[in-house]
Amino acid sequence: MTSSLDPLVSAARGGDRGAFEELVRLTSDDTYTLARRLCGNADDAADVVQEAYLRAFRSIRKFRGDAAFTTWLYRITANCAADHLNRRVRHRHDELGDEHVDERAEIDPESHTGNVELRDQLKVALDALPPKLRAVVVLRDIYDLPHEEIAEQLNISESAAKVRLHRARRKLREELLPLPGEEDARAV
Amino acid sequence: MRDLVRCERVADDLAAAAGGTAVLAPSVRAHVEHCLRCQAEAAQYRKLGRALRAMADDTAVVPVSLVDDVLVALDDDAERARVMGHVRDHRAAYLGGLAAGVAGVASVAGAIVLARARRTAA
Repeated sequence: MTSSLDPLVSAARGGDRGAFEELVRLTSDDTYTLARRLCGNADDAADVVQEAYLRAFRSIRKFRGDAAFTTWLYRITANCAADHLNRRVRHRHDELGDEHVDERAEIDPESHTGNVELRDQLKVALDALPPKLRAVVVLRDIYDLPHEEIAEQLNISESAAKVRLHRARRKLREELLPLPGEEDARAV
Repeated sequence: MRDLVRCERVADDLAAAAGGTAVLAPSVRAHVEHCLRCQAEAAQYRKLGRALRAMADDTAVVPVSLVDDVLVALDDDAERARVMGHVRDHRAAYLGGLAAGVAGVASVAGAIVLARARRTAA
């Protein structure tokens, strides 16, 4: 996929608007998937994708090609998602609601077996995570970004990124794969 | 009780070691090797890690209008840039004209004052 984008990227850098539009068509699914995972909901993800492509278009001439175009675009998307979620915190929309949303009603406590069920439940559990924890576990455990890059994307220290990651994993594990005794604690 | 406290202490280490982001300290590893509960917890973290990595191959359900909305946003942004460019250009022309007008008025006023001064002197 990357090699087939190179001619379009070169044309877009030269000011070819049509080439950039074609890049949008070819990359929007993956860009939206990343945004959806980082934001936890479809509406915010759509806003983030729009902002990401706007930023990419405005700065495409500065894209040097050191990294793959898709990598560069994903970094922009992650930055946009972080900015978007930070704006929501400042406006105090439903950040508290995000912290305390209990999605357990949507998770069938009986169906802990089966990879498909776990992945479906994992998507729900990820959406229910606090945004700051969700961002780190998505970027690290799904997209395999190194800690230093995650820290740079989220404008936090590397140690803070690791702490958030461990906390996120622990919350997910306790929610989806509780050990005996933890289930009883949840039921209380 | 002591084992539960110990298990609680290594819980964060297990979460850290799950994706290979940390290596268990020898003392922690020694505890896990003899603790069925912590072994079970480590196994659950490995299962969670596999499920997360598998998500990399998934694609979200993309809204039908996503690409169109992005292209419209690009058009709107280009239009805004064009309008702002016009405003800047006209503002520069307006201020330039204003400055020329002020300079013209000032030179006429100066000429009038000069002429009156000469008449008075005469």
